[in-house]
Amino acid sequence: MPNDRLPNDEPDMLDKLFGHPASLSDDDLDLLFETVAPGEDPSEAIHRMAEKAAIAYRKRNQVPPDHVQAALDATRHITSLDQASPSLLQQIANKLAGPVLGPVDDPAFSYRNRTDNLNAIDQAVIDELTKELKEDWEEENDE
Amino acid sequence: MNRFQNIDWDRLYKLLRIVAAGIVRRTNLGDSIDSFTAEDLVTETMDAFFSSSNGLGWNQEKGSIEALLCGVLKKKAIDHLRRQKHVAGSLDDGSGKSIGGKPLAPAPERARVDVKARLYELVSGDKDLEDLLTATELLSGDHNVNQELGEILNKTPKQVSNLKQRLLSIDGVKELYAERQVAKRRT
Repeated sequence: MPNDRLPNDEPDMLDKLFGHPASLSDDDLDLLFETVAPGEDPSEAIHRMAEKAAIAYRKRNQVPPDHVQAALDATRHITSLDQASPSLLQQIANKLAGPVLGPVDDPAFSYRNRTDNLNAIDQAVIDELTKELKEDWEEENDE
Repeated sequence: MNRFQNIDWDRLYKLLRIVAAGIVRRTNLGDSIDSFTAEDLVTETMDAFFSSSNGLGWNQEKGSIEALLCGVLKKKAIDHLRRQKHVAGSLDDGSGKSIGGKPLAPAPERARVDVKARLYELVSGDKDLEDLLTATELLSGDHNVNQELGEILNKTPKQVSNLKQRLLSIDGVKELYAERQVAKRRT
């Protein structure tokens, strides 16, 4: 009977630590991808493979099927916004409108990640200010 | 509407690369055997998908494209190993046989312990990271990993994510995670 299991298929400690890739956040996925394939461009890799398949279909006088065409369209190298699809333009607009995550100097944003502790009073003040800010944002969203 | 239009190809590729790296790391055949790389597995998987005129029959009702292609990728890995089986013996034995005088990988259980031991060794002296590893051993795997680790460590999921980032910034850990790729690149 054929063996349909991989040897050592049980998750090791690194698998446990990071969880299944399908459930990773975009940030964690990017972090791990950079670890396993530093400098690699996913779009370029997909485009290269889809292009190779498309050539094979055309050589057989066939039109590349929907999934190959979809991959080619989605990963085409864009040099001007004139060529961009509405969905890509929407993605760009969403990214521009979203908050920017990055290191900050202001402890109001970063004290929870600091290794040197602020005292309890400072933390309480910052927590209160954070709460007020959240309430302001919620009010704005409601409007 | 074309059912393939909503696929996030970048995310799909990244996910397959990470899953493939995990398979190669756990299989742990080492550079001594003319084996496959994570990149080979992903290329073969995507080639199979693109070469199939109906995208391997995928549609959203059957499940996610990620799940389908992860399954294909795993089968490709099994095929690779099966082709080596006539040289290397049982896929499961890890009994210390050799191929062409070169030693086989360690037994599965030993390899798993090695990952753990090496991680502890690499973070030795960094209490936060040591705690992170200890907490990992307590995971039930029932829900979101960062959330569960956060509950054990009394940290927010974001802080846990930052700790993992710190862990992966250690060169030895990076190599351990992507062992095969790094080893290949050195040669």
